[in-house]
Amino acid sequence: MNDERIDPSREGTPGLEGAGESHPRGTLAIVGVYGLLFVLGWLFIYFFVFVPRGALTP
Amino acid sequence: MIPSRKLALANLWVAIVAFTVASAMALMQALSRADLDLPWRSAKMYYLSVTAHGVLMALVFTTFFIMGLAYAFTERALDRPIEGPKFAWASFWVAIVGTLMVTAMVLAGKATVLYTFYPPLQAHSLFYIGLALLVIGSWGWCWVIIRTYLAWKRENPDARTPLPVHGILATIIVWLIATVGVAAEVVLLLIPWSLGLTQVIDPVLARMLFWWFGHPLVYFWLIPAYVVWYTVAPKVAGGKLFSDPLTRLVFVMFILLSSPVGLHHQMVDPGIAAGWKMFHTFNTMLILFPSLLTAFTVIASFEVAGRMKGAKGWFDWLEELPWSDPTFSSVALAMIIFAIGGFGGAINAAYGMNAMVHNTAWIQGHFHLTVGTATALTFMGAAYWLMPKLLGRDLELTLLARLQPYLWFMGMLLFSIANHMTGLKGMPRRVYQFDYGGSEIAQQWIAGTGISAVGGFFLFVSAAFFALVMLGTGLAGKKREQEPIEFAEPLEPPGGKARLLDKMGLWTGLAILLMLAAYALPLIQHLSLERFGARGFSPF
Repeated sequence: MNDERIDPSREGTPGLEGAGESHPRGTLAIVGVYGLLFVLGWLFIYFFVFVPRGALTP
Repeated sequence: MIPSRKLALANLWVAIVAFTVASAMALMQALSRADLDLPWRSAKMYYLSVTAHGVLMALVFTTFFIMGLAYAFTERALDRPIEGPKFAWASFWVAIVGTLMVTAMVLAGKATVLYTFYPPLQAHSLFYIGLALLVIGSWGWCWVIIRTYLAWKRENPDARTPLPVHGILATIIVWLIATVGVAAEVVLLLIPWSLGLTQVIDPVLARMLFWWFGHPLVYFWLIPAYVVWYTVAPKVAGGKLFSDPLTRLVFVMFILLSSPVGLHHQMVDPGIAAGWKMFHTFNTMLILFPSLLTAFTVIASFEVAGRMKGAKGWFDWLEELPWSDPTFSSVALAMIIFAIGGFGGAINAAYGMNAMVHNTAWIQGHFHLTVGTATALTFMGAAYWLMPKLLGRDLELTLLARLQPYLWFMGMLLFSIANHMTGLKGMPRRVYQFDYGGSEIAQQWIAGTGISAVGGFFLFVSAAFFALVMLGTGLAGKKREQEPIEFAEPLEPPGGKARLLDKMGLWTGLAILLMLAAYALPLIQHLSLERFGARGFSPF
């Protein structure tokens, strides 16, 4: 992790400059990983739990 | 100062009392399910407590909390008093009378019908009449908020609807559409049947009308929680809302997609064509999208907060967030739990896989992640933030308040994951004696039920902490100047962007059309079949 910090004593709202302009890359990473796990988990349950149990009405 | 402060507080206190009583009932169920030899343990007490827990949590705690939150948020966000305060109080008392009737019947053992009150299980007529009054009282609340909004709109024709009110209006629209179904079920089917005016009832029709209401009910709980996530949590975190238009889009998507989904609760019911079940499955999958957008927008708002405090890396902003603030931790932990619940929901809603988990312990594991945490834990976090402001008192027992969300999180993980696992192994839900006389398959469930009982104990302690903090704050909190309610500001004001999203009349009309598309033909098809009524029965 990068420990570089914005100097809070600078003019204007401390730390606000650029906070919203920068891409929310951490959020994208978290949501992206979640989305991937979501899909993989669903497929896992489908193929490795549901399908092996066989059809309900043969 | 909020003129309707007393009204908001009255609703919130009713919610807190209902939550506390329902929590005690939950502990009893969890321990009973674990086959512990408790005093007064019996099938009758078990089902009575399941009913009381479900009704008080799902219908009373949530409805009153949402009404209280909406009064406080609407008045503050619109910066004007509510319209018709006397009517609002009258509606509150109607809902209270209904709640007392329902609670009395359940606790007297005359309404052991669980919170879904499926016929042919039959309750005393006062239970159904009480439910009707609770809904009528909530309709009064809807009318007050809508009138207030319209009055504000006349005074501010060009202004954008404040974001908290946009979310509350979405909640109300979803609630009004949803309650048409349950009102029809209660008034046309259940009350005449319970009074003996009709001898038999159509259980499938009753279930269709119940789930017309029952799944949108989930979003009636969830949208106000999202209002807190979007408009309070970023402020508490020290940041700003990442995107105002994206938030409005999410609320509009909920208006449209919350309701035409109910048949996914009836995948194994006869009398409903498979095509309609599939249509509702697709709609249910679509509604995952606004929740994913919410995850993105709210986490991005937290990232903004962390960066405003100086974080520069990929994830170091997480360290800058106020994890010891009970409002923030409640919301953040509720979101983590909801992420797991969303995954389970996609299994429930899948037409084929639904059969694998239908009516198993998986289901109770699932909805304790969604309503039991995403909503309930958020509401607790909101109470820590809102009650001191409304009471003009400091929050008391702050150590308990800080610990409480983490205890809930831990307890809920133990409880719900154990229930998901035992559900996959076939353990039915809502069964008092689950060992089936020592059958082999039931032996596989014992470890899981034990773990879920431990989770239930943590949850009970957490709920007790919450109740103590609220009681301490209400009775002994140090008096102070009333602090104003302030909402998170967006990074960029919406200005004139996406004004279409504020046209609630348009979205309501489209939502009604979607409901008709989803339900008109299935109902007509069902009513055209030869139907056989069922006589009512009560097992105790």
